[in-house]
Amino acid sequence: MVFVLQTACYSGFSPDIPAVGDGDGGMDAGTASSSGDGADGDDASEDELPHYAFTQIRRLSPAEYDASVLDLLGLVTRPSAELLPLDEPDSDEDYAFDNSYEHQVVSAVLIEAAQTLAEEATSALTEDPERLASVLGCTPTGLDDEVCLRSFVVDFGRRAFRRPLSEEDIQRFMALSRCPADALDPDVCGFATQDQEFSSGVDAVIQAFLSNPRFLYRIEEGTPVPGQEGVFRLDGYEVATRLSFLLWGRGPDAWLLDKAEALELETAAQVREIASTMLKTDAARAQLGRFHAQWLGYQQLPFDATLGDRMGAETQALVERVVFDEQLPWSELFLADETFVDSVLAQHYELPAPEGTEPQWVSYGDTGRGGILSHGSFLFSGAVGTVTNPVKRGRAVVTRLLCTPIPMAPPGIAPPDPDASECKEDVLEQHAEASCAACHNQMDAIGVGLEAYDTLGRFREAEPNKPQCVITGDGTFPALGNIAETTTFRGPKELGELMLDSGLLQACAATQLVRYGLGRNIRSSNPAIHPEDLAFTRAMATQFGESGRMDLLLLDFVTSTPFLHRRVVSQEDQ
Amino acid sequence: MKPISRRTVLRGAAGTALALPFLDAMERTARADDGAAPNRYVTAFCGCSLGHDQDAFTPNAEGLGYDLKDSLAALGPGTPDNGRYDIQSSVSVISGLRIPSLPYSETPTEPATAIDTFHVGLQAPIFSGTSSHTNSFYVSPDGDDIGNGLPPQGPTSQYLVAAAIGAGTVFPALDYKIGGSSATSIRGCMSYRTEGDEVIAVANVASPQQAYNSLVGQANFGGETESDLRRDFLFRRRLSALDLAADDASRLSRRAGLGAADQRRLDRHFTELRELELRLTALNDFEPGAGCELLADPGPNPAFDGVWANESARATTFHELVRLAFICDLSRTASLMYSAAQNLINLGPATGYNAGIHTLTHSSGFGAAGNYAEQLNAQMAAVVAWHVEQFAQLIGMLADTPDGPDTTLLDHTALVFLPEGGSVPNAHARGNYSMLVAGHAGGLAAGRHFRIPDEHPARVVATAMAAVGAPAELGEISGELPQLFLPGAR
Repeated sequence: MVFVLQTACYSGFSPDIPAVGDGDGGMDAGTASSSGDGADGDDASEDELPHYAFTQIRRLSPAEYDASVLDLLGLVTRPSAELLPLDEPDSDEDYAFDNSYEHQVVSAVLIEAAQTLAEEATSALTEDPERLASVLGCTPTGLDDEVCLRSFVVDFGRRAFRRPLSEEDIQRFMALSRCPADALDPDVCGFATQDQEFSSGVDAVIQAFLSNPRFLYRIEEGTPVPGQEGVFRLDGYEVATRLSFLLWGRGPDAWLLDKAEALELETAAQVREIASTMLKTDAARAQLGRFHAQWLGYQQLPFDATLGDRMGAETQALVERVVFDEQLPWSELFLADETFVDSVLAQHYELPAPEGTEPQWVSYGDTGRGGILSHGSFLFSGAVGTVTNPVKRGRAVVTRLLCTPIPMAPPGIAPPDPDASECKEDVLEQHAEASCAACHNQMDAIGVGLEAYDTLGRFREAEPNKPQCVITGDGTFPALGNIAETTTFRGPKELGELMLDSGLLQACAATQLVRYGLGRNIRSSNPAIHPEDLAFTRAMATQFGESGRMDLLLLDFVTSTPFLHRRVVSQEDQ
Repeated sequence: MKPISRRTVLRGAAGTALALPFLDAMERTARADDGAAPNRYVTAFCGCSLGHDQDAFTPNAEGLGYDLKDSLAALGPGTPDNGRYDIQSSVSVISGLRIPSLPYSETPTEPATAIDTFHVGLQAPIFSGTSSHTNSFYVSPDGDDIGNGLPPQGPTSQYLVAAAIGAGTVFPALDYKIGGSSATSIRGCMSYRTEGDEVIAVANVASPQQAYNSLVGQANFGGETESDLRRDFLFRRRLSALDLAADDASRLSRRAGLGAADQRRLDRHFTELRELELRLTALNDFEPGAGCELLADPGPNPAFDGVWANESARATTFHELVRLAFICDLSRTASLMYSAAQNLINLGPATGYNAGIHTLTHSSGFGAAGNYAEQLNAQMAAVVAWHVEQFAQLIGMLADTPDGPDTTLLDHTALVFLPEGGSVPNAHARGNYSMLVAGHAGGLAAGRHFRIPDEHPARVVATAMAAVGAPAELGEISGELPQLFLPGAR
């Protein structure tokens, strides 16, 4: 089931998920029915929930790999992305996450890079006796200390593979520290922390754990659910792993694995309790920052470290304040009338500088700024060079932040060639012609409303080096979601308010979270989509519309049926 | 210490003897039975079109001694220090080509309804000679979204050539990507192979350090860096861990509860692990022949500094590895993606023009100063010239490497260089397409400019395949272009 996108702009934009908020606005016919005769036709009503979501095993993303190795060894030698092959990005521009199994391809490069990374990390560990001792957890009395070897394999293996090892596995990994049958010199192959002539057996074991597919992939199996073809209930270890990667961006620690072992992750209520505890950690704060950064597009900060680091900290502070510290409605992310800056960044934004050197919350006053859309981190997103592109900014707002697809320009159409002397707004007027207008009028006009802010988030009144090109900053928000008519706005604060009022921003946040959590692009134009997935996403959006809080959305999601189950496509269907 | 035999019988941790089909092959040297040097094959891709309304690439004169426009300056006389490699006599320009409309791969005649797009997966159609899938924003007549990023309908030329002339080498093919920063490029794959009926993308190596480690780091160059005993020990340990991993991948893939897609993924993981074991074994037993000398470790990858990732330095390392692989007969084919289709690499530090390549090709540089069209032409010419300069560097290295009495690697190599699009005032130009063919393998007529109106670029690729002894058969395109060979060569 697919959307025919060619004509989307001519009949108005069609959000993937209906708007939420404004009481009964959630399933407003005006927002839900313009998608043509696609997936909407068979929508299951919410009463028919729960659904089961299709998932596959996922390879750790480079960031998840790094975090997991850090947890296991206490060190990483380099960002693994330096060596691991890059997954192709999704063809949908509004899907921006780095953890999609749909794009994870097995290749020789992947295998070799994983091998190299494992060997590098292990070498670094064995060169640091203190760290090695803490990783081992015991002090071997000699090359034949099988007791210490065994306790290490059992403990390390459980954390590396995210579930206990079988007795057979324990034996297989212990055997790695011994010499092969045709050993050259048995003395060099034992289990030891002292650097023997050829290093020691312990690094052979660690290396084997880190390059094993049970570490590199999140293997899920579960127990078949009677009467539900292809549906499996995840066991406690698998739930712990899903929780951990979603909420912490890394594998489960010993505490969480203990919960699984103690059968404290069996019911939704138990999962909710554990997840609540997990949210009270720094790892959860960092991870929710990563989710927002990937979704909103600010994971690439300005390259100037002076500004880039400060802007990253500014945005992270707002996310943490809204979601964790004060548990405010998530909408406050787009409305906040204060921002967390030090004197350097305050000066950059032309805000009153806080005293001292540490960043503090500073009021925006009547600057027209407000919320995360005012941050340099967001305003830099998608920038090429130092020139703002209002088309791209507007497009990103509609497609990525509001989950509303816009078709690409037809092939063979060259964008207008701007003359150097022309003002940008005059160039954009060429988009208002004929067939271009239907789409461009809407996304360009949003970008124009942000034009008064350059790629580093500085306010300006004219284009650089073109004083005659006065920037009005007057944008127009299209009729989308709960916004019935095109509405004028100026600047990031008013744009944020309109996006919230449309109800699409919250719906999109829930949608993006589900995509991130399931590692798959759930979107109506995806040929692999299943109506149940969309219905589930809508249900999550509705719940988010009611609670308004991101932490509660996370708890609702991790206790949902799709999160606690896996569903596979049967052989015949493939 | 006990003496070690290079010919070790390998046993994995589980005690299973590994099959080692490469061992026999490793006995041979780079010489074929009759003592002749083998042929080698290189494909290179430049992820941008050739320019706007000014063609700075295609010579005016045809035949020998063609004129060198700005983008081809690196072929001319001079020294590498100045980016000149003096190799024009080994490089031919083929112009007037045309990428056909989709999905009509072979015929250049375009129906009125032709979809004039090639962007997505462009490199796959021209290197595989098969029709591309269309852009995902278009739907087929029966309403299916044809999809983006789908593989081509056949393998790329390199893998066909590898099957024909690469048997027995440790690496059937090397696939390198120069455009280094993950933040600056998309559509990064130009190689596909077949496995059964399936066409599979081959991920390329974007890290020079990883490429070195894979090719050189584990090869036995005669004990210059480590004692034989230590190397053997590390080798065995690596094998044991890989053996266990492969065993686990195999066990997992057979679990009934996993979905079919999961099983396929793990099965492929298993296959790749086994192939790595075989490569490591072959490299451990490797015996370097004449001219095959250890290359110094290139060290850490050049960093992405916010503008670029020193793509010039990356290219040099990859070129040295290709040269090494060829002279050591570790591989006979290589693909080099200098930049990906629609890439945003900023070559500013090399060209002086500070903008992403794709941005330049679409002339969407809001805020340019001065004469806009003129400046864009100069910028595009510089961007293409950078790509040609990198390609010329590799050609120069091959020309400087003896390969048999009185011959060099370049005498036994065919190289093709394809840009993403031609040169007309349309960012998506399919016509007025020019490419380069270099090397002297098989009697290629080098150093000439051939204008072959409306010919398919893949036909030229098929000709290069024929030059190195592979069948000139590429997906939907077949048959060599006889005029690209010296008289009497065929």
